[in-house]
Amino acid sequence: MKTPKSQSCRGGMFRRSLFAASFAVAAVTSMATAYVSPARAAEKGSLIIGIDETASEYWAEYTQGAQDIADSIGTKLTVITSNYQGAQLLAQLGAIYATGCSKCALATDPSSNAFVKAVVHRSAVAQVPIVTIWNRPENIHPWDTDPKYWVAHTSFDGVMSGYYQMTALCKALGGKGQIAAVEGVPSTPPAYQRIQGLHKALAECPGVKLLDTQVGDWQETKSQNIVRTWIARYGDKLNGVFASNDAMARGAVAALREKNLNGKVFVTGSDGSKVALDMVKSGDMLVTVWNDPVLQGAVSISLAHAAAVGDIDPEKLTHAQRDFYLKQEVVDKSNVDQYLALKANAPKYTYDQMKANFWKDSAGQIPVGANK
Amino acid sequence: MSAFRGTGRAEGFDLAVALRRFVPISVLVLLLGASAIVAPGTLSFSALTGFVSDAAPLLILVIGSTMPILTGSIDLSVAGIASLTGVLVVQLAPIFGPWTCLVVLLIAIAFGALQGFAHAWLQIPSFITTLGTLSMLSGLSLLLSNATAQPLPDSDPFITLLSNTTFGIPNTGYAVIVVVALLALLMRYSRIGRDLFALGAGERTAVMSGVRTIRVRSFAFASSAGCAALAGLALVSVTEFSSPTLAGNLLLLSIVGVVLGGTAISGGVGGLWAGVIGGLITAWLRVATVLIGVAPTAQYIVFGIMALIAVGLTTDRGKIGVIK
Amino acid sequence: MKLVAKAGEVPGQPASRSLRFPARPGRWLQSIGPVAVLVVLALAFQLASHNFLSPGNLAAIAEAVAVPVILATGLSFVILLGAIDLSLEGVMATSSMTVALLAANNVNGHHWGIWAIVAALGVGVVFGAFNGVLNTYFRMPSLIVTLGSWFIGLGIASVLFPSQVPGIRDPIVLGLASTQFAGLSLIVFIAVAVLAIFHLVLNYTHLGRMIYAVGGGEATLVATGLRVPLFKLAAFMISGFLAALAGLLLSAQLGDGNADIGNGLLFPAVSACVLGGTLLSGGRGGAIQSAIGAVILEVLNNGLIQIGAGPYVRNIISGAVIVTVVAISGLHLRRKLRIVK
Repeated sequence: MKTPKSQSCRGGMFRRSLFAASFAVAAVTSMATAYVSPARAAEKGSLIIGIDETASEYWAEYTQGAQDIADSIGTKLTVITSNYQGAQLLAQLGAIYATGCSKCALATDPSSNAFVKAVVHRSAVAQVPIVTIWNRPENIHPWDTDPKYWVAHTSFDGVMSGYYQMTALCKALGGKGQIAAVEGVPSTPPAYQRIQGLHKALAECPGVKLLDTQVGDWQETKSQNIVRTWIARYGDKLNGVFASNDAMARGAVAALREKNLNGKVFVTGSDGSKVALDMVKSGDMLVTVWNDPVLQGAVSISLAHAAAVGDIDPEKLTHAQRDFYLKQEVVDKSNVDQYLALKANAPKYTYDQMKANFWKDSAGQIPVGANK
Repeated sequence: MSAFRGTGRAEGFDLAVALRRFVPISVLVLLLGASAIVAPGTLSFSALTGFVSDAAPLLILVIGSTMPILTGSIDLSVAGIASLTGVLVVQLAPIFGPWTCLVVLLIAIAFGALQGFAHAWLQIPSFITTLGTLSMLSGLSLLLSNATAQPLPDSDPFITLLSNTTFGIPNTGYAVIVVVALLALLMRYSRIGRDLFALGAGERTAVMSGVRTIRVRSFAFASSAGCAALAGLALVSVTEFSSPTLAGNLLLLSIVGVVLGGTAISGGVGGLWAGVIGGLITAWLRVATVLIGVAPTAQYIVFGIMALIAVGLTTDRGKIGVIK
Repeated sequence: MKLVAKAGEVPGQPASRSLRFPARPGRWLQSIGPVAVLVVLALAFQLASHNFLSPGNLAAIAEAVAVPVILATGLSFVILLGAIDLSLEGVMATSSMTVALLAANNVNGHHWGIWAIVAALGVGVVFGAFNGVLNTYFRMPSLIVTLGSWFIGLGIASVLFPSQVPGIRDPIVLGLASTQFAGLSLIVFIAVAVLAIFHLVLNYTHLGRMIYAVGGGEATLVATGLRVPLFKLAAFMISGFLAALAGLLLSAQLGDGNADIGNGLLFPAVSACVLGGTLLSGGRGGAIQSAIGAVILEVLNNGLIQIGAGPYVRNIISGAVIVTVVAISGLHLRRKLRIVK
């Protein structure tokens, strides 16, 4: 009884001291990193962006746009990542604000509609101006919820995106055929807006029938599995796939490629990612809808910064200036080269350029009911 | 080898064993101290109260999850219950009015008890039982809410209570204390406390000495589900919106929290206090990466490594025979 | 779940049963349950949609189930020990980024060809070894070790991610998915081969027998002086290796590297093992059983799309089926198994 116990204890002590040593090393290293790290939040006038994930082309480009603005005014950009978890975003914002933050500005995706109010409120309490992107519940707006600090909300028109895609599908099919749709994460506005746009265009294209709609959660592999099942189920009857974003369009094309159907069954997507542009060029995809994340990053953080330094007074802005869509374009084979060139050499935005007119690229106020 | 709680106890005072109990809290203090040096201001009153309100849902989840884990089972459905709670509050408010939250809590507790009963009586492993129910719960949340975020009813008294502060401290912080106190009293003054540990430490022995497995397991899962529902309420008291995916990855964080406090995943070792400390460490690790300015791409790596090191420090291997 | 066998217990029955391994009469009986479920589900879906058993749809199921089968096979090794490996998704993410960045691609100048594949698979073995060493030599519970390496794997993939999705251009890597025999892609045959090989490893090698034995009663085995940690280490490395293979094959299928590639595949893999009759407490089950479990889940997935069930209802139904099947197939064990955690 006694022997194994004490042995395990001695072994335990050894291992524990090993752990303690490594922990101390880790703590010291991380502190050292912190001292040399340029991305500290506490500096004056620093810019903060909250993104959903780092391993994504879209968010890398969004960060690039915000970084351009930070460079142009000579300040630091702090990037926090929620990994699609609103609770995590809130906690991390709380930590940043706790260390003190004057003239900071925040642009963030609140990760889902449910966290918008909490994120805005948290920033307002810390007196940090905030611009939200993508997610906003229907019944709250920058002018009625913490209006002094919630500067603006900006997004891309999901209904129009879906409408553009479906219209292109209808045209390519000559107004006759069957399609199926893959939806994004159902609780996010772009997901249901794009499907709404699909139905709007479908009503104007009576010869095309929507066979099925399934949820692909924005993911490539899920979409691939769904489309594979559709091919087996509908065979020749499937003439087109409406994918709510480019990643799912990639999954759809991968599934079609297995049966050598790529290019024969039309696939549409949205976002304008590099791979999608390449596939539009090669003919694997029919269209994608170009949303410019670099521009979105530049516009959203500039607006927040302008409010932080007093270049604009949020409460004097019009509703159309505080709740607006950015322009988006349909990309098909005819104009794809132009966007590939833009992708290769994104313009480097500056704050002064943005300040000249923050709403130069606005596509108008977000209509009532868009976020229902 | 005695199967019951800690072999150290039978051998009188042992300095190493006594010291062990303070490892988790030392880790917490070390973390707090390190952050205070790196980012002065993190230990200010307002920063700490903010931290408490962000950490409360996770803390309550961790405390709840500790109960099944003490018996050697595991409850993977907690985040699903927390998300569904918010959705149910919105759906049931028109029917139950001011009593909605209470009703939802009771539903959750009943569900948990049923889940524990099914797992123990049918002898289905808890991992798979609760994995199955997790899938069902998330489907149900999506279905009931039609996959949208919905605003909570304005006047719900319980949620208003949770969202307020008393003496500058968020009421969700007091909720944590109440939960711990309630469970601690129950475990101290009824058989259930001893039985929980007995089951976890050596089920065969426990069964032979008259512990009623099914009853104890039902209790453990009922309390974890109840805590999960309360955590869900604490979350929606901050967001003011319900959503079918509200609690998201809190499941993984809550398991990390349980283990970081020194509770053995195999059961029989640990307790409520361990849950509180573990939950605090986890909540702090979640923000530490931001505080010390880790590049966002490296966040996951740093979190993973810090969690592993912390677990290495806080797990008392001396009390566990075979590690799986 | 019984993640840990208590040191004080004498694992009588299970250990002796698994040590008597090669001739186990009860084995076929045990796998009849899951197969019956599979047949019933397939017939039900065929009645409901008339298209379910068409060659085209069966091929679609085979394509979709290939990767889950590989994952479930690897996971079986760890679960048979009575341990668990939660790091699959992290390993897949890292292996996917590794192969996409080292094979010919449109982001950097590397063109390692076959060595990119080797590197991606090596990543999995390293992860497995990391898990195994922490679990056996540092005596940390596998649940928490592999939870940590799950995060680390996702993190490494994020760090590796270049600013745009890396598209794979290497013909060898792409060939894994695009090469077809008899209307099925090479991936399906790889999955079958993996299943066959690792089934043999489990049943006809010393390593396999020892893995069953460890799951049946580790404490007794340690007492006999066998080098238990080595077997456990090997099991984790196999699981990591096969997870990396799964990440590699999915990347080949999609033609790009993706940090989210394993998203949502872990829990179905665990469910597959349990559905097929592999016990989480270890010692019983096997690769074939787990593979059958994976097929059941995919049949459910495919069939529910075929009959047009809504996406939310799909979650509810598959959850219910998992619990019900496991409950029913465990009924005959109820009395024997006094302890289920």
